[in-house]
Parts: sequence; structure tokens; C-alpha cells
Amino acid sequence: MVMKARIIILGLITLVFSSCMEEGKVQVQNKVHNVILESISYGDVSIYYSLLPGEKSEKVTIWDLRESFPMTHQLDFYMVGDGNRVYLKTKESYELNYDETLLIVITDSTEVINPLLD
Amino acid sequence: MNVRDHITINNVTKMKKVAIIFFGIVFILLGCNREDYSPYSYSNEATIYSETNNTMFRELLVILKPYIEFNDQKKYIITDIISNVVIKINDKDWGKFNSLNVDTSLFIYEIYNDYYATDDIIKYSVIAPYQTSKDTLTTAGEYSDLLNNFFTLEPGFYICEIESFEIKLINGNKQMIKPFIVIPIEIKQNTRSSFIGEFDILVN
Repeated sequence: MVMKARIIILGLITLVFSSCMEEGKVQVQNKVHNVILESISYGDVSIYYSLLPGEKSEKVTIWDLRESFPMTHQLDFYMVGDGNRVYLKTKESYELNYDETLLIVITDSTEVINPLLD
Repeated sequence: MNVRDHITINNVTKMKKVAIIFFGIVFILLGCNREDYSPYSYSNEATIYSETNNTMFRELLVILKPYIEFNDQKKYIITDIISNVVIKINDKDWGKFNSLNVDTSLFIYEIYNDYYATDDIIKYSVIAPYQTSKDTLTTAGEYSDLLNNFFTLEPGFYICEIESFEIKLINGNKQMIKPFIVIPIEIKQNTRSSFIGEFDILVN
């Protein structure tokens, strides 16, 4: 009986913790000419390893506390072209709310920052 | 306590362990922890670098020797630096560069017209790596162009032009010189740089 009670209590605690979590989804598309975007990250969350020009990532689910939403982060990535590589961040921060899917399209005109030169 | 009771106690202990492990895993997976999705670790020392093993072409080298004529003698202009050396390759801008510094204290020189000049040959070395057309890149498209043109000269022949440069006069002003140096250069496979040459340039 004691064992059952403990399991139930632990189960309840787990439910309480899990119920405070919410999810949002992020998807990234690479529309920059002649380059691959690699190791794409939205804030602390790794989104996708590599996107060819025109390719769109899968929707990556981000779980976090409800009060963490809406979250706002820059996208950072390695840009690779002709065997050369540079680390960049988008100048703009993108807002993600829970139960939403955020599609970030990186184009030729997307403003970026090279942290080395910042 | 009989054997049956002992087995029952053992089973309960095992169940406890299983339950603890199970809930431990559940907590790890569902716990309210921002670190669940660990980021990749990025270096802030961002730079552009090549992944190929070949020696890539990086820069042009040129030596300029500007001089004036005084009583039919060459007097080489002496200043600390020649600035804004404009180099074109196949009529496209390669970049604008300053020469390496010259230690003027090593030479004996006099004033000739608007210049300090000397009988010694003064060589101004210019190292010219490829420059982007913009000083500050701001968009993803501009970075794409840079990455794809970072080493812009494939092996082959090109026409190189030293279009202009600037020399400091005695009064501190700068004079633009247009030397009209046009020369073919060859970029060879697996070479890091190409020497354009040494040029005596008469300044009028």
C-alpha cells in the first residue's frame, strides 16, 4: 500500500511538472544563393544540421515553461560556400509563442551580424 | 518469516528500485529545465577559413619606386607610406591598399620641389589581398558573395593594373599619381601569391 501511494504521489508530481510545459515549433528555410547553412540554432536550441539552398528544415519542437513564451531569439548558423565558412547571427530576433509554428526564411537580404566584427 | 515472505520482500524491494529509476528518467525527460535542448557550442572567434587542402591564392605583391627628375638625375621620393594604391585585375577592382611603412630616418634626403627625395632607391612594398567591394557586410547575400569569391583568382593569366596611388607632399597634402602600369600576370596552381613586379614611376 505504501509503495502504491508513493508511486501515485510521484506520478502526480510528474504530471504537475509536465503540465507547466508548453511547446512551440521552429522551422528554417535557406534561400541564400550558393551557400549551405549549417549548425542552425535558435537561441539555445539546435534546429538543424545543414540546409542546402532552397531547403526547408523539419519543424523542431521546443518545450519550455509556459512563462518562457513568447520567447525571442536570434538565429545563428555557419554559412558555408566554396569551401569557406563564417559564423553569423541574424540581426533580427524572432518571436515564438506556444502552440505556434515559426517559419524563419533566411534570404539574400536578411541582415546578419558577424560577432567577430561586432 | 518463511521463504515465501522473504521472496515477497525481495520483490517489493525490486519494485521500489524500478519505480525510482522509472521516475528518475521521467523527471529527466519532462523536468522543467531549460537545458533540455543543449545548444551547439560556438566559438566567438568567427572567421572565414577554407576547408580545402590546396594552397589557395591570397594576395598580389608589388613594389613601387616613385621618383622625380632633377638635373637629369633620379631622386627617389621618400615618405613613410604610399597610400590608397588602387589595383585592378581584368578591369575589376581588386582593392585599395597602403604600402608597408618605410623608416625615413635611415636615409639622407633633401627637399626637391614639393617632395622629400634621396639618391637612394626607396622601395614601397604593397601586399594586396582580395578586398570586398564593401567595407561592412550586412546581409546574408553579401556574405555569400564573399565566401564564393574569397579567393577570386583561379590559375591562369590576368591583366593587372596599378591604377593610382597617393604620395604625401612636404606640406602634408596628398598628391594622386596615376602611373598607368598595366601588366599581364600569371596565377599558378597551388601558389599563395603572385609578384607583379618592381616599378620605377616618374612623378611630374
